[in-house]
Amino acid sequence: MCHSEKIAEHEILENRKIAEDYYLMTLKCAYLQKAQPGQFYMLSPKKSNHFLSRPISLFSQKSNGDLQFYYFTKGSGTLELSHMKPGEKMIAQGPLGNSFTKVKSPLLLVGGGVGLAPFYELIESRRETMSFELLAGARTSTGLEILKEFKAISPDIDQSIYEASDDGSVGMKGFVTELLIQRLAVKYFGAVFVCGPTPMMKAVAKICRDRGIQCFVSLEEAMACGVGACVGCSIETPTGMKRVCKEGPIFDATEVFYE
Amino acid sequence: MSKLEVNIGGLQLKNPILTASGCFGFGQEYQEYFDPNILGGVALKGITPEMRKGNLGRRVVETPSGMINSVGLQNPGIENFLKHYSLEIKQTLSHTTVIANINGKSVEEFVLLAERLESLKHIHAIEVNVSCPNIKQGGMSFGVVPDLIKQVTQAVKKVSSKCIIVKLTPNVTSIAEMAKAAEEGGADILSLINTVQAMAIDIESKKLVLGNGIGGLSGAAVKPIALRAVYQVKSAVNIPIIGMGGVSNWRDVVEFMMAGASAVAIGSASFKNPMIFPETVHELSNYCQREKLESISDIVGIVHKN
Repeated sequence: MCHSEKIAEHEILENRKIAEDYYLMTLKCAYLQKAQPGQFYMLSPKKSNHFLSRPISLFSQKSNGDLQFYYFTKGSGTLELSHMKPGEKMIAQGPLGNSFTKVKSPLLLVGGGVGLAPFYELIESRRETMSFELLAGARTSTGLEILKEFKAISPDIDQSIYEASDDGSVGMKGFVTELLIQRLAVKYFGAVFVCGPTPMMKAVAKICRDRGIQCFVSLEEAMACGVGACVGCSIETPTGMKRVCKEGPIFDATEVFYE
Repeated sequence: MSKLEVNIGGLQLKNPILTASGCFGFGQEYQEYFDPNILGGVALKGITPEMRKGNLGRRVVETPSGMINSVGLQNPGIENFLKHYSLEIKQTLSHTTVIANINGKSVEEFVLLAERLESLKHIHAIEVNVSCPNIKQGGMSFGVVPDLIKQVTQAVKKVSSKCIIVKLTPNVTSIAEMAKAAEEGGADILSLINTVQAMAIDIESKKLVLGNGIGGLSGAAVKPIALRAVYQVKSAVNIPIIGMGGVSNWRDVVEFMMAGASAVAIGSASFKNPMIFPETVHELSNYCQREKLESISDIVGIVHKN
């Protein structure tokens, strides 16, 4: 009834199970929203049992405007998302938050599990102008199934992707941080972008700090409004309280992991 | 005169829809969504004398039909507010009623805040938050003791020429007693309810979900509680009421008005749907037409007469 370009109803084109607990949802969007890699949307089924929307990182924005979101069924909200069927309606509010800054290539991207999500759009939209390597980690192979989508971006991308799994079911057996140490030892990188579980991001930030490499982290925090009005997602930084939804979700690692 | 216009406590509101303090920042975050000047009023986020970081750790959690927050009054403090936010508010909220929300740990702090706001012509009213349940030493102690409510209301009234709204907590034995105390203290308007004290536990980690442990419940879950509170307060006092607590659509607005609220604030329902503000104003206008009301005020407290 009352319309704003920042919040709109979209039809689900596909809600594909990528692996156990991992889904990729595609929304039909009539217009291009000019979302930047690293930004997120507040998503909610039009008919939802939940009081709040869920902040979900943008996976991909297609040239016709369609939006893709890669998510992990962590709680009841994302579980509800996974039950949605093509043709049903979603409410998407966004794009929200800041985006990955443009820094000197080559970039080293480090993603853990569902934290791989923002790197797809980053690679897809900037691969013409930047060189990169992607280090992908997960507990088991299920968390790395999504890499098939990454590899489909272009045939040469495969050689820029390094995989690690805790159980060794795919790629190197071990943590993605071991891959990080290896790559940093053999090649120069302009900066490291990391998104994943907090302990992993902290470990990556420390490795970068020890080597004097700039590191940017994409944070996750429980949110209510997504636009900075409720200050529910604020975190403490040396330069004051910052809202993950507004000043973030991307922060310089030294700003958020400084202890 | 528009059917939606309401006059309360010396304030002339273009319609009875307001934002609830703490849910709309300082009025800037939703500019890309709709013009806040279409609202009857905007209640700003709570201000304290000093800058406050608020509570650390997780601050929000969804619960059935609602949410619990323990933001803990994060705000830049009154001096930073005057320096960095006031001008923007003056420019962007020039055609609506602006309500500053003040929070003190002592009567003196409430007085200081009211004094610092006195010269700002674009702040039309002051909401005295005697009820914020999140601060360990502070608001709560005022809001649960009638004498303290009366004392702080009197003190603020004495130094301020603005419309004084006293915001009441539902976490008391008798909210009507608290309302009477504020009225005796000279309050122009009462606003109610603030959030209901609540908590959530993570059964996996066996810990409290919120960093602060206890927070305030808001959302549809508290609406029947809020409605009952407005109804009881309406019976107890003669000053106007701004009703709030879980308002999720225009029907809820009508319910609060029928219970005795002259105006109604929308809070956490706007997190999922910020467009609820323009939608509700529009629907209320339709409601007046359908019901052939001359003024929306005609339904205020109607259930007390029926």
